[in-house]
Amino acid sequence: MIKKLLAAAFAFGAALGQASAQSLTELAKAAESKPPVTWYESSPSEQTDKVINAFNRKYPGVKVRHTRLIGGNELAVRAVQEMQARGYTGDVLTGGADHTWQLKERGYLESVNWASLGVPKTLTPSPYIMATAASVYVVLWNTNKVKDAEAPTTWEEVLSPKWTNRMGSWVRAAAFSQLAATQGPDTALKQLNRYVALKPMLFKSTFPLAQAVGSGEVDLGIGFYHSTLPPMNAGAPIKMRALDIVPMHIIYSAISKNARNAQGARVFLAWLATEEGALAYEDATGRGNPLLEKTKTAQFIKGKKLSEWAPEKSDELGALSEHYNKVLEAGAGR
Amino acid sequence: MVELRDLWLTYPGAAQPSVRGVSLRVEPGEFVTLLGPSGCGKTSTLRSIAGLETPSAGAISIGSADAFNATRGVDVPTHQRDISMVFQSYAVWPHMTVAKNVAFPLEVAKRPMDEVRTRVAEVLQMVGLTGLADRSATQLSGGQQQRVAIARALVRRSAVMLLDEPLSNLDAKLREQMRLELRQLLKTVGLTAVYVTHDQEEALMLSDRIALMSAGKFVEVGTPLDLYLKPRTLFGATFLGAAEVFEVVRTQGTSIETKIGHLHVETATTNFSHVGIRPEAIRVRQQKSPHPSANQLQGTLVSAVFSGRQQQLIVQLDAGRQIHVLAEATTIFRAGESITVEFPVERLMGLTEEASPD
Amino acid sequence: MSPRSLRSVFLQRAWLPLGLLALLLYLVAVPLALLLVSSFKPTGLPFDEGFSLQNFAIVYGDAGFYALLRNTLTFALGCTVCALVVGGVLAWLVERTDLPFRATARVMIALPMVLPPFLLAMGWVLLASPRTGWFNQLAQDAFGLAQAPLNIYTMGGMIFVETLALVPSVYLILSNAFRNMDPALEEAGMTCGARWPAMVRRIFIPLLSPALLAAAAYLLIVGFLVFDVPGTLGMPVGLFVVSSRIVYLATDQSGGTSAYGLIAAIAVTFLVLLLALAWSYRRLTRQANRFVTVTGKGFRPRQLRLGAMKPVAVALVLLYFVLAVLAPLGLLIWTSLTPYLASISWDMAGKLTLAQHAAVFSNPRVGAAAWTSMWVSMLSATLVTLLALLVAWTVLRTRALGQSGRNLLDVLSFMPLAIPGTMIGMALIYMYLTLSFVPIYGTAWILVIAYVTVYLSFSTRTASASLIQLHPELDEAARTCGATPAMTVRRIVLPLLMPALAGAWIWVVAHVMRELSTALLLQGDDNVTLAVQLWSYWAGGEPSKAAAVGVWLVVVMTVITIIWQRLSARRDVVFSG
Repeated sequence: MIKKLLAAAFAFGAALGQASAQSLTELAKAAESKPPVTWYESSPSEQTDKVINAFNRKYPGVKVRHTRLIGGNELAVRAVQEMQARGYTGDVLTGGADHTWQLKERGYLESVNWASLGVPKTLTPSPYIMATAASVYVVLWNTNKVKDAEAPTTWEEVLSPKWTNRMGSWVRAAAFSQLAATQGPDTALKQLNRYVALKPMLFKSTFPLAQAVGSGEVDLGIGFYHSTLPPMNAGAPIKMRALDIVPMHIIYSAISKNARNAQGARVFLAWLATEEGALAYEDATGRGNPLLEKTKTAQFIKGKKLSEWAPEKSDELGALSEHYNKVLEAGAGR
Repeated sequence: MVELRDLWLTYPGAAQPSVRGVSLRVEPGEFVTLLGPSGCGKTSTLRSIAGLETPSAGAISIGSADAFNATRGVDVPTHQRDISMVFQSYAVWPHMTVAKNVAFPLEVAKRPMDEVRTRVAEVLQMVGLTGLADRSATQLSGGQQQRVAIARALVRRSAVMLLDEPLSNLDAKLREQMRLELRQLLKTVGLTAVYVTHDQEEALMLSDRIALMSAGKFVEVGTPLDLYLKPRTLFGATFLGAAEVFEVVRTQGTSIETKIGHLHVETATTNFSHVGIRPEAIRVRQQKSPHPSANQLQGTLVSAVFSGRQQQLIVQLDAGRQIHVLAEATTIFRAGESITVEFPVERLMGLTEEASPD
Repeated sequence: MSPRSLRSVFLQRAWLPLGLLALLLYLVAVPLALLLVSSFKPTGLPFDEGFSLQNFAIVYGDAGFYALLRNTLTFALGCTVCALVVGGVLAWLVERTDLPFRATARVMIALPMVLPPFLLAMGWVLLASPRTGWFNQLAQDAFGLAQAPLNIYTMGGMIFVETLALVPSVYLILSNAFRNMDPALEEAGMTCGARWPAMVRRIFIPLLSPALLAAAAYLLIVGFLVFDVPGTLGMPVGLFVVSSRIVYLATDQSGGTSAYGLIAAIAVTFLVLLLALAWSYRRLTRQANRFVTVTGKGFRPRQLRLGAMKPVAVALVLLYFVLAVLAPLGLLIWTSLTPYLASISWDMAGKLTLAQHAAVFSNPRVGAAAWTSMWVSMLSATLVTLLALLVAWTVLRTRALGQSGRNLLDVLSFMPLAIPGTMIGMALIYMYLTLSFVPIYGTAWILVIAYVTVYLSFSTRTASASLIQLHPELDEAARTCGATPAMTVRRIVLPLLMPALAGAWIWVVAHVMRELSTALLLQGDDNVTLAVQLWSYWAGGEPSKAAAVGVWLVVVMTVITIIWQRLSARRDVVFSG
């Protein structure tokens, strides 16, 4: 019993000591002599170059190398392959809740004392992962085909039969599976079925969906905030808004076990959790951190009800998503 | 010189062997022809000498060394055998000029450039293609391509030249012309040659010796003259040249009782199955002989066809058979005439049915 | 006869064929093994625990899968038949008739190879989509139609576009075969009184059957596994094929990882199909001497006089060129000039800008990607063509390795066709992560190995088909002249096969330059190819920049193709004198 208490005391003291002894500047200094921080993430490298440049303005000595992996699934598989074959993978891994959670379950992630790095508690539902950004669902419409007043403001309006054969959708019914987090699976399924009855046109990802809305191939669609920005900013006749309930996928970052530059990884993630870092990431990739109120994304969804499953429920969410995807696929046939 | 010792070849997956225990010794400078109907195994034998086929048993030696020996596990690859080969399809390479084609064996052997040039020119002159040296191989006629193939084989000065029906794709006139040229060429150079053909006239004209082949075996081996005038087997008599053959019923010394009557032969032997004679050896007279002597038979002329050098007669013998006779063209025959045919005793051939042991 | 000593004699000469077999086992058998193991693992990752049949149960127990298979079969068969017909007609027109401008035609027909299929599909969406397609708008305006006449989002539309993408490959295979046909064989048929239909049926098709069967087998498998066209044209309207399922399992499957186990379970079916096709191909071409048409006798294939049909023939070739190259290329250029994706209209014409092209050229990553693509494609093409020649030669012309050894070699060379590029990529990741002393993981070299594996099938089929047509006496003659097998290959076989090999080379270059799924999977720090860069723009919401890259890709490939055409034309002069 005493042994246990002593052990706990030592651990606590060590933790406290860690927090105070290793401030960010000291971590940065230690990181400089190590190999570059490897960052696995799925944005195009041109975009992450900007993020890294902004980071280096604050921490010039900490080098970061971005490797683009094209999706969360690939990222997770690559991490597993590398851990199994050679014992280490990218230092910083940025992916969806299900991907990072799955890696945590396999024991590949390091537990981090986020508080000591100055990361707000709201961003860290677990010591293993930190919220970095989010893909936020919006409704987008072609302003030549749909008048602003007509465009839906609620989910109920989205499901109106007047949008039959005019709607575009991601091939994944992920919006509805995230809706189920607050509506409950039964309601969400009913909504999905009504959506499917609109015979939406399916797209491999929300980027071509947004392009299709811009070109008038479909009149409106349910897409993401960040994927609607590019054609919109390029001048396409598109507008978007958040609906009454905003489903979303938060993107988490984690530090892997046996990271080559664990210190640099911490510095980098700590920076991403600051306003400066989050805004830099949003400017570059379009995805902002909805939990940091100064980001455009947070402004965009201000006051709306958010709907998302917690990371621990990833398995349940997975099963639900599979079911919903099948419904959408089956219903879309003409 | 080339020697084949009890060579057997069965192709993988084949039910029967293609070559069955063939033995032959070709002396230096000799021109030996393998003659036989298609499928008799002559090309397989030739290709085995070249190393393009692997025998199942037996031995082959080229020059003084073993090229193949089944029991001792020797199988020298084609490119290391001292041979050259002329193919039926000519196998002249279309992407090279005539000179390049002919020079190839020398270039492969890394001979110096001037030596190559001299020898190529020499050999092109031998085959009559000087002046075409820089022509692309595809611009030549069939006969010219064949000469290129021959030149290419000659230039190597190998121990033995193998020729696989090289003239069979040429038209008749060209073939006749090339036959004589080929023979002369090879004799001038003094090459040992093994030649494969199914054309018996060719074999007779070109060879020092002929090996008659049937169903994978050598039936008879001998000089053209011997094989033509004195074949010992039924196959030899009927395949090489034509023959009228009569089945033997009983033998009594030199008197043979055949299905068409009694015939006298020169030497007495007991194991003839047939007696034969060449159509041109049969003598004909346009009258009935009142006292038919030995080897004389009566008959009636059925038809007479004039073919330039001779007349082809069909005579219906009183004894019951029709025979072909090649007579001189000077006498005029009429169908229906009475004819006496005579088989000169020295031209009668005693034939057996089995392959003659050699 | 002593079998042991004979075998030892063989062994001494067999190091090259053995080395070849070992190399092929390394390249093909390892990914294959990983694929099979993966299909039996619940998570699909070969080094996880557990062994089960659940992947097979999930895939083949799903009724929806069979609907997928039916769609896929329709699609694949449709593409195969159409591509064979179109490619066959084009090949015949160019090689066997007196079509004018033949050299230009060759380049024109080969060009579509270089367009990434999803750009081709995207171009056709902009042309024939019922709502925004330009052709439809023109037709509706011109004829006052209420409904759009063309709908590209149909099975027919999918087959149409995929056929356009596949014709260059068929053309390559068949044009080689046509070029090498001995007119004597046809003349024989004609003098027997055979008329055209009988000639085609009883002489042409049987003589060409190795090439036809090789083309058909290739088309069928590709039709089963290809994604871009069905993904772009079928997915929007719920027309799914097997490849859609595979891509879904890789990228969209929920649960946190790609479902490689399920992908592997599906791929197993195609392996079986492929083995069946390979077996029938071998049976047909077993009596290889039946198909020999190139002998040393030198000929020029008989040319048909088109006469009054000449304008029709030229029109056909032009029509193909317009549909397969000009129209999509035009749309590509248009898209690269518009600030955002939009169909052709006067309004948009006012907004055209060169900004995207400028952005592409000023992006240093694009330059690096272009360089990577060039050298990876050329090196892969050279290596795989040489390898294909060696494999074809060993299988068809030597007695090395025994009949079963040669069969194994042949089958191994054909297998990669049925292994999805993603699985080859995954296998390579495992291999080079484990063999860390070979430091190619994450570099462009791993791409070279992947592409040599992926394109081995097509190259070997092309080399084999050509070698079959080459009379064996041509190389036997070389051996009787004292040339070693190596010399024979170098000085006789290689030059005579050069047109076919050159065609295979350019095909591989084009396909590597546009290949996506494997390059994406194997992405490391500095091995981004031009295709990946292009896709990166596209998937990142910048289709105009993607189109710009695509336009320049076509330009580069056109230059390479023209150079190839010039080089192979010189060879033809040698042949026909």
